[in-house]
Amino acid sequence: MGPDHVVADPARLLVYESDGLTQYRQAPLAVVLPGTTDELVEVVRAVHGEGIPVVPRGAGTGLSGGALPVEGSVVVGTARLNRILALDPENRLARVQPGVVNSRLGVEARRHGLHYAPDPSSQSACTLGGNVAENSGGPHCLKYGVTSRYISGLTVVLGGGAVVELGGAARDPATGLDLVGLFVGSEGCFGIATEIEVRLLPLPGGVRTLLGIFASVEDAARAVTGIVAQGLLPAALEIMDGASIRAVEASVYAAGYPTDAGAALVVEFDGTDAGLDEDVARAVACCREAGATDVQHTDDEGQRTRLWQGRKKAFGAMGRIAPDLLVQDATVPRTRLPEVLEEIMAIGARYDLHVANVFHAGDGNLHPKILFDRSDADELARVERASREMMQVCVDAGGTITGEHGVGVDKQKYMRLVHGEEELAAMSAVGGAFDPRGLFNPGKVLPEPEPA
Amino acid sequence: MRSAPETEGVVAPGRILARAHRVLRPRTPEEVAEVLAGARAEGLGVVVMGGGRGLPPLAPERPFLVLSTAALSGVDVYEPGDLTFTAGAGTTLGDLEDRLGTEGQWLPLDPPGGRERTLGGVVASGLGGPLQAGFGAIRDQVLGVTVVTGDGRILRLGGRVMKNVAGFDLVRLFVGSAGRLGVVVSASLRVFPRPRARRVLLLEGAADGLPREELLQAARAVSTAPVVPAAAVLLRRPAEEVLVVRLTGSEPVLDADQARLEDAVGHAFRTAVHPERWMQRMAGRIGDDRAFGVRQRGLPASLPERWTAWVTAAPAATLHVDVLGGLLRAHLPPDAVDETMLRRLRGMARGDSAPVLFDSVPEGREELLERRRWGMPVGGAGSGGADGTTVLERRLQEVFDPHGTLAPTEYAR
Repeated sequence: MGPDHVVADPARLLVYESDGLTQYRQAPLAVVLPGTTDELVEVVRAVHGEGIPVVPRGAGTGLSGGALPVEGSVVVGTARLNRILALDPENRLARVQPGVVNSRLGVEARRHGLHYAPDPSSQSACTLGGNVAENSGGPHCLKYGVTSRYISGLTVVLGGGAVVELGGAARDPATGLDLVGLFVGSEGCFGIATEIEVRLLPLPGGVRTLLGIFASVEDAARAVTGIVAQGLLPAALEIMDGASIRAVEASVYAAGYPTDAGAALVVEFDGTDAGLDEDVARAVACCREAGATDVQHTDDEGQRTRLWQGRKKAFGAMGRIAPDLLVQDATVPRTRLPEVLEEIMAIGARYDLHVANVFHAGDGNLHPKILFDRSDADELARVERASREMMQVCVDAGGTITGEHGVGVDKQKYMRLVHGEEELAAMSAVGGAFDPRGLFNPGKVLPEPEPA
Repeated sequence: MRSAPETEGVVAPGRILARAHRVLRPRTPEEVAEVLAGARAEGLGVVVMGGGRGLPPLAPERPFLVLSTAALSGVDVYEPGDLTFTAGAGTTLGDLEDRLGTEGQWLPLDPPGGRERTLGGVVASGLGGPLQAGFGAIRDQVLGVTVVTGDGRILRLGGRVMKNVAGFDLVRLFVGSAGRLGVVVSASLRVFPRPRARRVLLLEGAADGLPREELLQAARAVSTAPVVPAAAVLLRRPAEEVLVVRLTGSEPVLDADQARLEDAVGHAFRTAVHPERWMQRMAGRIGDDRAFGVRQRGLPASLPERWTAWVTAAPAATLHVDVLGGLLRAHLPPDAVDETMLRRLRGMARGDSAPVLFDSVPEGREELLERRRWGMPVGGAGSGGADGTTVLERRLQEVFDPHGTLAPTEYAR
């Protein structure tokens, strides 16, 4: 490997000091960017040989600090491992390197009438290796499921540079443990996937998008309940609240949503074209019954983009209002959403924080966004306390502390809200089976053991 | 907890029950832990049994007891609005289907054995049926499990929410672990709205005047068509070869999907008059004591080649191939399997092919497999993966069943 692909200069290391969760920063010893599996193996062997931890990194778009360097570590970036190794339309499989960007696989698959279903919001930048590490979701996983459903095999580099093949589409699923399923979502703590076998699906025959405007989040949530009760299975069901709408409309991303609205609901159906208009008609009826003030729908690609615009840009728009933005992530059983949202807004008000909500209403995955200013120490402390209370509310409702962003360093402090000591010990032991020396992304995911 | 050998309501290979020291039916996770501790103290292995259909074909060689999940049954929580439920391991798929049906929902799982299979057995086996094509594998439907590990720890893993990445995904580890790490005592799964309509399409080789090559090409065309059916299988009895496709959706969707498939296939399908009967055949059978049952995985594109090879090697076999998933199941009459046939089956698994695995053995023919050990692949590469995988699996077994109480561990490979 040439010196071009080893970064040790402090100025160039700056960009590797954090991922999408910018409140934590730590410089690594160095960053290495291998270009082949052999180089990757060599790097892991050499670094682990010195007893130095390795922190894997994809595009650094993660929101939980999964790619945050740990002190005294070497970051191994997959940016140059960006080849699509095989695309097999006959078996609807692709084999890719971990640095391939999610949407690029989508573009390549489209040439064969296929697509890769998981679509995290960062899909134009995030890598499949990162998606595997985080078990990423996206707006369309209500119907299609999350990353793990689409990963059929992995070639992984484990501690000391050992290369192991896990699974594979041709392997009998009952002849061994599901090590692929276990590795997906391990947040870089088990090893680095150097080849990823993914399943592709045929492109849907048609798509319809519907935008409903409501006076309140409760009304929008009632529409969602109606849609589910109708037995409809939309590809996406997304709600944004009034605060989010106003943030978007005040930004360069203005999508034309009414600023006095309490909530906007985006519903998308895809599949065989012949059935979509009926689905849309039933969903429109549900929206009207729940008191929608306006409902629009379209099958036109350009119009669809416009209806989605507000939802897709909510994050970016809010980033412009305040110096800092914390995007929370939790999941609750879907029917508990209205009461949980009410409590979350009450917590925000109690701590005098600006909170806006955008969420995947179909699967109960919420993303409260807290706007704040890091330089205000008091406000920062209030953000911390409010976050914990929000997590507690979600857990009390039968939910969990992260639905798609991962634990990383951000949620370790909440792990005991959802897991007992036995379960945490089991996770730790399973991590030890893959990485006995604890040299992959140490100190992430699992909390420090309780003091005896 | 009943301690007398107990066969009431249990469909299991007689050879396993006959050799079991006893059959225990714990009612709670704590009682499961007690059974495991008791077995360990007595030096007995533990075979976990749900409906008895998915048990490996031969009894363990070491002394063992059977832990039946029959008393761990019933739906604990069902929230139709959340599209989730939690039920005990011993709950049958039939009972679940009835219960979910009252709310217009269903569990799109069609493992071989169908309604008689138990939730715990299906989760532990990880093997679904051809509906996986349209709705995902079992591992994608399970949101959480409560397990008792081989060494008696009660772990509550995952939850009842659709998306959950709070820590390492141990749920996945237990789904498909076949009783090697612990006993699944209950599971939470996601359910789906029941499709408004369904249709079963047939294309028969002989009856529709299609040469085998064309039928095989039709099957391939279904698996690469721009529409994914709920399920598709190719079935064979010695005098009958038929492609069966199951569609779900509203009537206009069924019409449109059928037309697109016929376009891709180049033939018109017939609509089944008795769809239930065909859906049962699509699920396939398992745990049949009257035949040798084997299975072999392969990629969908290899179907024509594998089909021809199996028909040639075992003309007396009934065959069942998941056209979209690639799993092939064969049943051979007892008199069709001898050392020569075993050699042929081994030949089927040469090179890059997946191993051929036995699911069932006829009564009285156990000796043919006993020398090869229960559930062993009769040949083939990648029977459990490379050495690295073996090491990982061994370590994971040490984490959850350090004393080797769970009998299946000795048959793992």
